[in-house]
Parts: sequence; structure tokens; C-alpha cells
Amino acid sequence: MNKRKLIISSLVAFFFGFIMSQNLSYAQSKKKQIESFNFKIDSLSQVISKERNAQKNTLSSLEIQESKSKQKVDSLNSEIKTIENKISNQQNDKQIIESNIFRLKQEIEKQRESLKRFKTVKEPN
Amino acid sequence: MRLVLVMIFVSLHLIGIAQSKKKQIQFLNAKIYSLIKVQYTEKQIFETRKTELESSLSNSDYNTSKLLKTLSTKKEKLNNQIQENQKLDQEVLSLQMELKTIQDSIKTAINKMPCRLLDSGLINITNEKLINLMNVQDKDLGELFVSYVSPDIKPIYEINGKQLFELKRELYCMVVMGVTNPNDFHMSEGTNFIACFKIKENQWSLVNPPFNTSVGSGWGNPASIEKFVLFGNQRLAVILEEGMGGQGSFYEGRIIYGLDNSRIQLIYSGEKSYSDDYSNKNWDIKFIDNNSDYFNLEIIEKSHGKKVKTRILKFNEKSMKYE
Repeated sequence: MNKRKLIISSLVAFFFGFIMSQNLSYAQSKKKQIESFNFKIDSLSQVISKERNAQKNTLSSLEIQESKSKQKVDSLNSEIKTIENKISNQQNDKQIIESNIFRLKQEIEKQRESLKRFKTVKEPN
Repeated sequence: MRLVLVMIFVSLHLIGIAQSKKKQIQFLNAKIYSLIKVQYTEKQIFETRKTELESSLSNSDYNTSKLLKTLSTKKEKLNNQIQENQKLDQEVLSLQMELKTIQDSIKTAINKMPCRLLDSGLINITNEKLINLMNVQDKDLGELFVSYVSPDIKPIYEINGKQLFELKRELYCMVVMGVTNPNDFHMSEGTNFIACFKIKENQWSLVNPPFNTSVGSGWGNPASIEKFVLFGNQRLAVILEEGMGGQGSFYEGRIIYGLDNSRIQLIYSGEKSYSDDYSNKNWDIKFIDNNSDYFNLEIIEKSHGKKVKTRILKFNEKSMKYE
């Protein structure tokens, strides 16, 4: 009877020991897995942070370039407008000058006729 | 039995730990998945924004290049316009100079134009008005023109003659007014006033104050006009004649007043005729164009109608007289 009890106790102890060892090994594996995950999370966080910085820099640089480019476009548009105004002024001036030329030519023609008359008319004493 | 209980307790504890680890792993997995998702989303947002910015930049670059071309074209157009206007300005300058030259020539021609005597019939102003315009008052004549008989007898003003003429394209009129002295004695002389009017748009204005000649014939009469004459291409003169007779002789004098640069002055005084029981002389005059500012004055002396002497007088510009 005692022998049978001993055998059963030994079997239970063995079984328990076996389960314990299995459990221990499983726990070890989980721990490693958790460590690996933690490492992965840290690594991912770092990558994300670096990427964020890089993206921020890239976008910032692009935004500066875009702003400069827009400023240049605005400046060119403004310059074009100024030149267009100048052209318009010059065209107005041209019209005035041409009208002056026309008037002067008419006046010259008139004065030439007068001069001709003066030269051809001989006054009697 | 005690051993079994311990084992069960240990087993339960271990199972609890295992469950906790499992949940932790699940949480970590979810975290990793979430991080990957965040990374992916951020990358997508970044790429979209980057594409937007690059597209905007590209558009801006394209616009810039297009605007630069437009600007260059406009600048060229402006330069061309400026050059064209400069040429036109030059043309204006050249035309202005040409006009000035012609105007100067006209001015020179006008300045050289000889005086032109016009028909005095064209004068559309009455003698009364001319007398008023000359504005000579009795008090200007002096005491010799106050009647010795009665102060009510006043000098008489009459227009003796007028000559319309054109000088340097302006219209003028020389007017000679005679004033009869109220004292009609043998030795009392009348006088004449000579004035020059400028006529512009029918408005008469005196060029100079009336010039009192202070010469006249006897019996209170003023001198009479022989004629108006040119003594230079641009100079008009009036020849007056005065006369005096008595004791068988008769004398006539000739006085010439010239208008020179808006001034009236005596330029010649000499005999016209003289007659008595023995002699009968007269002197004819003629102005001769000598191509200078003042003509020469030729005086031909005749006795009984025959030429006896000819003299040529030149105009002395210092004394302003024929000598």
C-alpha cells in the first residue's frame, strides 16, 4: 500500500515537475518575445521620429522654395504690370508727339506759304 | 495531499503569470501594429503634401519661366517704344527748328518789307473822331492862340490830310491836323499837329503824342499839305507848305516832317517858290532811292521855269536832317 502511494506520489511529482519545466520554458519564451517586441517598438518609434524630422525638413524646405517661387512670380507680375504701364504711357506720349508733329508740319506748310508770298510780292516805293 | 495543494497553488500562480504575459504580448503587438499604421499614414500624408508642394513648385517654375519670357518681350517692346518716341522727339525738335527758321525768315522779310501807301479812302473813321483822338486842347496852343478880340473866338481844328500805310505788316495812319489861329492878322500863324495812329482790329491808338509843327501861313492859317511821300523804304514823310506875301513879293516855304521809328521830326526846311517884280524862282524836290535806309533828296532850282541848279542832299543820321 505504501509502495503504491509512493509510486503515485512520484508520478504526480514527476508530472508536476514536467509541467513546471514546460511552464518555465514557455515563460522564458514569452519574456524573450516581450523583450523583442519592446525593442521593436523602440526601434519603430525612433524610425518614426527620424522620419518625422526628415519629412518636416523636406516639407519646410519645399515650402520655403514654394514661397520664394511665389514671391518671384508676384514680383515678376508686378514688374510686368509696371512695364505695361510704362508702355501705355509711352504710347500716350507717342500719340501726343505725333499730334505735335502733325500740327508742326501744318504750321510749317502755312508759314512756308506765307514766306513764299512775302518773297514774291515786291512792294512799290 | 498537502503536496498536491502546493502544486495546485503553484500551478495556478504560474498560469496567472502566463496569462499576464500573453496580454502584455497582445498589447505590444497592437502597439507595434499601431506604430506601423501611424508611420504608414504619416508617410502617405507626407507624400501627398510633398507631391502638392512639388507640383506647386513646378507650376511656379513654369509660370516664372513664362513670366520671364513675357517680361523680356515687354521690356523689348518698351525699349522699342522709347526709341521710337526719342526719334519722334528728335523729329519734333527738328521741325521746331525748321519752323523757327521759317518764322525768322518771315520776320526778316517783314522787317525788310517796304512801307506801302494805301488808299486813304479805306479809312472808316470820321475827321471829328480823329480830332478827338488827337486830343489837342486850346491850352496846349499857348497865348498866341487866344483871341485878342474876344475870348469866345476859339481856334478851329480841321484835318488837313491823312495817309493810310502798311509797315511791317501793321496798319498805320499819319494824320495832319491844322489849327487856325483866331487872330487873323497878317502876321498871325496857325499851326499843324502831326500824329501817327496804329490801327488794329478797327481800334485806333496813338503811336506818339501829336507833334506841334508851330509853322503856318499868315492870316492865322495853318500850313497846307503838299503831299505824303516816302523818304526811305520804311519811312513816311509829309511835306507841308507855308506862304507869306507882302509889298509885291510872295514867298512859299517847304517843310518836311518825317516819321522815323515812331518819332515825328523835322527833316528838311527850304524854299518852294519866291516871286517879286524881278524874279520868279521855284524849287522842285524829288526823293531818290539810293538803296540805303534813307533816300537822297534832290532839289532842282528853277528860275522863270528853267533849271538853274541841282543839289543832292544826303540824310544825316546824327542830326536826323537832310543836309
